[in-house]
Amino acid sequence: MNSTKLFSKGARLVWRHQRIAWWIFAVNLILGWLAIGGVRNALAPILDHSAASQRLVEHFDLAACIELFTDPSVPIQALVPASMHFALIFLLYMIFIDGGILTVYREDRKLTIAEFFEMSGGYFWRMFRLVLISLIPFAIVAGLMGAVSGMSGKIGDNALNDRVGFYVLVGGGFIVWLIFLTVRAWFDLGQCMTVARDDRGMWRNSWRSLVMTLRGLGTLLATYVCIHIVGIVAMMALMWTWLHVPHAATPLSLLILELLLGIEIAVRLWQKAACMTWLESQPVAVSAPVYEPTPIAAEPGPLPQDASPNPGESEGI
Amino acid sequence: MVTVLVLLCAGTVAQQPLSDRVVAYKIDAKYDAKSHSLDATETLTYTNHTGQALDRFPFHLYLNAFQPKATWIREAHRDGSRDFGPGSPWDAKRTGSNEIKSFVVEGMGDLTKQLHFVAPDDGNADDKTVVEVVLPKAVAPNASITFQISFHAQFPEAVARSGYKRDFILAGQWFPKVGVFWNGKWNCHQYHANSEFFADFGTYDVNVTVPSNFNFGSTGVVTNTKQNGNGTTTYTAHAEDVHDFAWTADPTTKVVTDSIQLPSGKVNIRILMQPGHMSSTDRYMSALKGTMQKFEEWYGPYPYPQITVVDPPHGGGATGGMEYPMFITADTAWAMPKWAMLPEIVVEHEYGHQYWYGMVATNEFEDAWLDEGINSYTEVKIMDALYGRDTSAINSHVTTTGEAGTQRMMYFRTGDYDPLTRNSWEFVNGNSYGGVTYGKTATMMLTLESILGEAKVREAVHTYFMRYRFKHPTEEDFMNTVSEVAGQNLDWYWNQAVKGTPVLDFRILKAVSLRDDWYKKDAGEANKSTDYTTFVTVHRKGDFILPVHLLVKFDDSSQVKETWDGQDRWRRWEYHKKAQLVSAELYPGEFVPMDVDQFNNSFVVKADKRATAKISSYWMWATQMLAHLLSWLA
Repeated sequence: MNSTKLFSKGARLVWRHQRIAWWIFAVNLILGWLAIGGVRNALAPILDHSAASQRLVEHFDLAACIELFTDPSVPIQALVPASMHFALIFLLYMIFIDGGILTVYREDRKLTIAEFFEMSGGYFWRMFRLVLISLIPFAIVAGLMGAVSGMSGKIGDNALNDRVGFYVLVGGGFIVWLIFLTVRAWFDLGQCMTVARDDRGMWRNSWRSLVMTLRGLGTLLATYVCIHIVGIVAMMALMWTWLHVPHAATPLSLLILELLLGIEIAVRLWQKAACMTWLESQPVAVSAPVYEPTPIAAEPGPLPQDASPNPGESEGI
Repeated sequence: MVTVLVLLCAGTVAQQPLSDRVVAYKIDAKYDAKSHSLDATETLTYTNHTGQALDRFPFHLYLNAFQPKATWIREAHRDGSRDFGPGSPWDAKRTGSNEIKSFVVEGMGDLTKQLHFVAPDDGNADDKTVVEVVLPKAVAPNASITFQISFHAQFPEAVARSGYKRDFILAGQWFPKVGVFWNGKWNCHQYHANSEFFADFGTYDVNVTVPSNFNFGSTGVVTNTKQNGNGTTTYTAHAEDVHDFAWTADPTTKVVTDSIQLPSGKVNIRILMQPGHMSSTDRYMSALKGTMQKFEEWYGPYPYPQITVVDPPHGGGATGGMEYPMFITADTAWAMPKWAMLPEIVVEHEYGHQYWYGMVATNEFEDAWLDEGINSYTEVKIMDALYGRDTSAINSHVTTTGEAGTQRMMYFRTGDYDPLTRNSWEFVNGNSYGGVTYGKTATMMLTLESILGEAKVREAVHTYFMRYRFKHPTEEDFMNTVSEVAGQNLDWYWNQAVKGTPVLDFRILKAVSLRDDWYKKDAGEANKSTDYTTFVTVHRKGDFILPVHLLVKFDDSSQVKETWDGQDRWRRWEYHKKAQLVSAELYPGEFVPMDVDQFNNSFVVKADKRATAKISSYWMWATQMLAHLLSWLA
């Protein structure tokens, strides 16, 4: 399967199962909302009854903002870590639901909530171990970016043309970006193989997925790059729109930013969907059976009057 | 005939010295571009205007500051300054030196062996930034003495206002420079990490030989250019009524020339641009011309025929943003966005130093606020006038900031460590030096405008300039001039804002309207005839005492303006009206940037949650984005 097909099939999968994206977005939004409780509590007593707060409404005065956040009564040292914690919770949540998401994309059907979370839970520790393993190559990628940054500084410092450093940074950054997407594709493939082939040994899974990634690198990387570019273009377009929103129109401003975030989440899911599609197109030796719910009991007892025979049937993901 | 006579008189007047010309330097320097060093001979004629015999002469050797055990490096290392902090290894390229090869005094012979280093500020025996000679015979009052010095100067890679970057060289503080006999004694401090300079006015005739492919710029005006036939060119520059001489040379520089006709005369402008920075040329030029016109209009004339602006190359930023007489260095980058006003600010600031340092030649070692601080104040005034009060520092769609805001930002978290009057090297650290010297002085002067009025402060600064140009005024000279022009004793203000460290912070502690019939069970709903008692309490949270105005507004459109001397810690006002409080605001219509918390200066009864909502929503989105980016690991 070529990258064009992967690109379009992945997009269709994400679109058909857009409820997943909405769920992720909702959780992201809720965690973000929880993170600002402390911010609101700290700022409201200072700003809500102060005429000086207008400097942050009609236009955004940077000096006033810095003054606000260096006010001893604004516990910035506590607020930032709180946001970091909520971001980490979101990461855990994403690791948790990886199994469910990939099952949906593999089977291309709506799972019930119970099915979705059963699959998520069933794969959670394997996905978690994969993330831990992936930290090694990601750390190397981060190190490479640091090296490129340092090298661009050094080369630029000695070059007569003051743009040389920037060009080295952009060129090096582009290569590191490709490597990063390759690593991401590699471990996405590892996740897909975990679901599709019920892999349990994660080191072995990582090795196999690496070999497969390298064999199909052209197709996979081209797909990942194209999808990511779509995300970048969308982000730039929305940022440009955001820049033209009047300062005082906070709701509209936030709406645009949330739309941007929603698209970025969808883009990430698009890559996963494309990866699963690619894996399913490959010849396989062993494949995990398509999921079938485990019967709760051989002979179910009588149900309560108001209970549905299948609790997950009315709602699904 | 009359016209000719007038012109002749004008010409004669123009040739009259503007300063007392204590020193006359003649320097012949040959620059070696490969080793970034020079060898030079210096003839210094010093005229003793001190009224007393002098038998001891100290000289600055500033480039010796850039050695590991020198006081400058020691202080920079202690304060964790960039490139010199505890985590930064010593880079040999940062080494600089001034070495006197011979020191001859006309009529007294070779005194090279009599030279000895002194460290008047900290006793650091390893600091070689001040060298002293004791003469066998004192120089009588009004007599002159001539020193013939040959020296070698090694420039460091760009650091603290001087040095090289690749082929670019900015030669500042490069020659042995005699101290200033001031207030009855020699004033010749060591070079410190947080200090600048101090020198006497005089004339400079300087020959600098550089490779012929280098463009050259300097203090003064180049009067002759001579090709030496060996791949080098000698530039002869002349400057008078200045107290320093700097020069630059660079093979890649593009020279842009223009001129401006000011009321006091025509001034030629030379901008030495880096080829990669040409997009900033118009920005420099526009800012420079606007600044020159405003200075001329508000503070006084620029008497020199030329101003040279040097645009340092990338990586040579340490030489940027520096002032020398008739010669300033700017700062930009090839990708400098239009909304970032850095090029304009730097050019404005450094040109301002032609007044506050260049002509009003205060002691930068001891009274740094008189040059950097007053210059920061005039920077605010001029940048605001040229680029808008709320947009003179940053002018993007996302965010804006005015110059006053940035100066205030420097000050409000460092204001209680050091008074303005502290010697520059005795500040608690570099942040305090910068925050107080630049930021606090600017906010102090802007706050003074709220007391005296903008026009009166401008008049005072103008008077101060006209009275003390080409002199070395003291802090008291400045404060007395302002008090005199203001027509009032401002000691109460100077004692707190200049000589002390009290923090100015007044706040509305409580503002509330209460129904007078609150105790009646059958009082019913409030209406227009309901009586209220309104209480407004103002708290002097800081220890700075300032008379303050308070504006109280009611919902029947009435308002009351109060004045409080601010002496007590708090003051409560009580109003009986058939109206409720709408708002209570301190400093109504005034700008008092010294108050460190602007958010507690007012209380508006009806809550406006838009600012909280705006910042909270951006914070939320930033958290969400951070979470999403982190989830790329999953």
